[in-house]
Amino acid sequence: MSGGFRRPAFRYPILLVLAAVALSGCSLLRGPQQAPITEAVPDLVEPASSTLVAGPPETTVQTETTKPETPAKPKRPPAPPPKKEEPPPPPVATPAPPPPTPAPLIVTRLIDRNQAHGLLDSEVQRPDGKVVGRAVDLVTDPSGKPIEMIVNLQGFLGVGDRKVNFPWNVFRFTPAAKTAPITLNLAPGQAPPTDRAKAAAAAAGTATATRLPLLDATVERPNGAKVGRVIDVLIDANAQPQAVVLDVSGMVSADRRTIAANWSALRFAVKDKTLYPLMDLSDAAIAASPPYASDQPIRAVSPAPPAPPATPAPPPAAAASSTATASTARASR
Amino acid sequence: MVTTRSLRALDWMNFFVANVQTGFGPFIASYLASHKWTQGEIGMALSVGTISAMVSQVPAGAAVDAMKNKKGAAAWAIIAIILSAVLLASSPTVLPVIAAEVFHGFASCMLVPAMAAISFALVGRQNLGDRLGRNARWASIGSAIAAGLMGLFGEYFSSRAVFWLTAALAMPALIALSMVQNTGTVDATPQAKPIPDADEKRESLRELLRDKRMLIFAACIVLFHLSNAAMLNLAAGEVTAGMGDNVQLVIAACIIVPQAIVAMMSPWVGRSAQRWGRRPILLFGFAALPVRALLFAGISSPYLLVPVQMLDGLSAAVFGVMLPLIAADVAGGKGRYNLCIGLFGLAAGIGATLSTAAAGFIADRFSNTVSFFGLAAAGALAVLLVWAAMPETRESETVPQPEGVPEAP
Repeated sequence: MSGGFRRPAFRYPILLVLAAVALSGCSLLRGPQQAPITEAVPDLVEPASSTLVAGPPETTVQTETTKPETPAKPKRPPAPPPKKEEPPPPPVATPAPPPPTPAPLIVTRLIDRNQAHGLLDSEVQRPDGKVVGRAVDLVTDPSGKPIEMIVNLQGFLGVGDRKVNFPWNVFRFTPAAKTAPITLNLAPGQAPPTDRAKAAAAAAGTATATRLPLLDATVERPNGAKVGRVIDVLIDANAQPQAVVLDVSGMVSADRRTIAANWSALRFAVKDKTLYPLMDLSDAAIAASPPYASDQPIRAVSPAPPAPPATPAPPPAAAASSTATASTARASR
Repeated sequence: MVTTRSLRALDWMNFFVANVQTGFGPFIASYLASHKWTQGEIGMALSVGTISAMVSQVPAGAAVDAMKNKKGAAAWAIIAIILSAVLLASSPTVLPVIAAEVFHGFASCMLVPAMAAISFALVGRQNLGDRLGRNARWASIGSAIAAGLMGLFGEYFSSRAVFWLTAALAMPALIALSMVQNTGTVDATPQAKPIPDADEKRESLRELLRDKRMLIFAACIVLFHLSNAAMLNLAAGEVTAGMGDNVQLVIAACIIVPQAIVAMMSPWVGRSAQRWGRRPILLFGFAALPVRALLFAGISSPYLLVPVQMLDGLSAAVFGVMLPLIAADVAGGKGRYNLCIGLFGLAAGIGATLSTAAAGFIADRFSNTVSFFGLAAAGALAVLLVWAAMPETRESETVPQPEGVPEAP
């Protein structure tokens, strides 16, 4: 077998180059081939039900919701096309005129960027201003109340990083801060957790019936279909989660599509002794949701209040019941 | 003849390549996290890297064996590494990152054996120990300096700048490589052994896999890394959890101090391995492992980690020189040198992966102290294996020693 390797081995450089070309080409190939989804859907801005609503009056809603549709158009459909009653209008449909479509699929709520901050990768500082690490995850209980935050305490060049669970109540949030938005307030007697947090850390990776590490959890519909994967949580200054950011494309997908969904729309259920998040957001509703992007205002969506699927629901009722959802959510906090 | 210029160029090449490899360490996880990757996504990307590195060890070694032009292999590997650094720096999204991880995994599997092969071809068997000692010295100087530089870059610019720096530091490695003379031109050097390209003596993979020395040393490597790989991270994690003021400084010292020790000791290790044989040196270096683990288990002050890390330098120096040296002993004369290095690299990868997983699991379930005891046990087992089973692989000056005969040190 002497020399048997020679010829193939000579091609290794070539293979490498070919592989490079092939890999870099993947994203090119995937781009333009999808059918555009255009669903001109009227949005209802939730009336000022909480301090966070800084939304424009309802008159601006129409133009606002149609604008994000355009960037969303070339995106891939996140899931099998919506099997809803209303057929997707032809791509040429102009979204500008008030659409004759039936029920609104979603209601959106504008969240001011200065009032809620993404949890993931936010710097965590000690009260004296020294940054000790970054937030990586949040653990909630079945009622949707956060009970712990997982912080990645930073070492040097990645060596010595350590993830530690801290109880939620030791953190203060200052979403508008230029520096670290999260402050870790350990009481003097409350030593940096060693063994106690260790035990928690053992459980942290996996969800149990009473606790769920939210990031990377898959949000499902009541019927078991997948809505999306949680990739961030927006927290306000009162340490209340306001919205979850969902990745509604796949994990390995050329273009990532993310939306923000209201925390109040999130429910939790237990399946196989583990807690998991639920949200009744249909595929069509996902497609209609404005994308979550760092340079745009945050518009958190909720599924529209239960209306008969085919018949148009009177907007006032929808608005009223959406406030009802919000208030129940607030009550549950 | 080997020119001094080539040897100098080889020094520098080791220096810059080590620079580059530093950027691809655990730092990738921090980098991705700073671009809002969730832990699940980071874990996936890193697993892709680990798997591709493991899978490509043996094929890459075989490929380098089969290539006449070792310099070409090294050059391609460096180019691939530059490419992956640029990919990482330019776009931290899923596809480029995974491509970068795959490229880097394969390229570093080519680069390590290719550089050992160039050294081998330049100096021959007799001086290989010395040469590998020098290589290790320059490599450790390189990674110490790179760790410092990258730490500063990450602190004052951005984590992305670290990868641009990585790519930039790889360029001089290419220049240094181009100044090394062609390995084909040193055939005239007076050496008893045939150069590794000698086709007629190439043994088959199966033969190599049956070689008892190879198997025993591979087992030693698995145990060594089982004990070693997770140790620093575990100890440093303890420092981090303390949230003191100088966490970064202490951990940086824990990384740089052992590199300094390696730089000082490697040439001595190489010379002594030629003079006294491999076994005593191996025992010496491996024995530092369980001692270090026990010390880590015992100490409480974070500042004491730094002196204990000097032991890490000791075992790293021995390991870094001995792996290519023993590979040359086992397979060098038979044209399977790089394949053998690949197999050893695979063993190291397996050990390291198991180590991180097991140590993390034990630390979560019980405590760090228990975890350190576990690592110490693995280290002790490695020492025991070397002592009880590892034959001396150095060939005596007169006759090549028959394999598998243990020599009393």
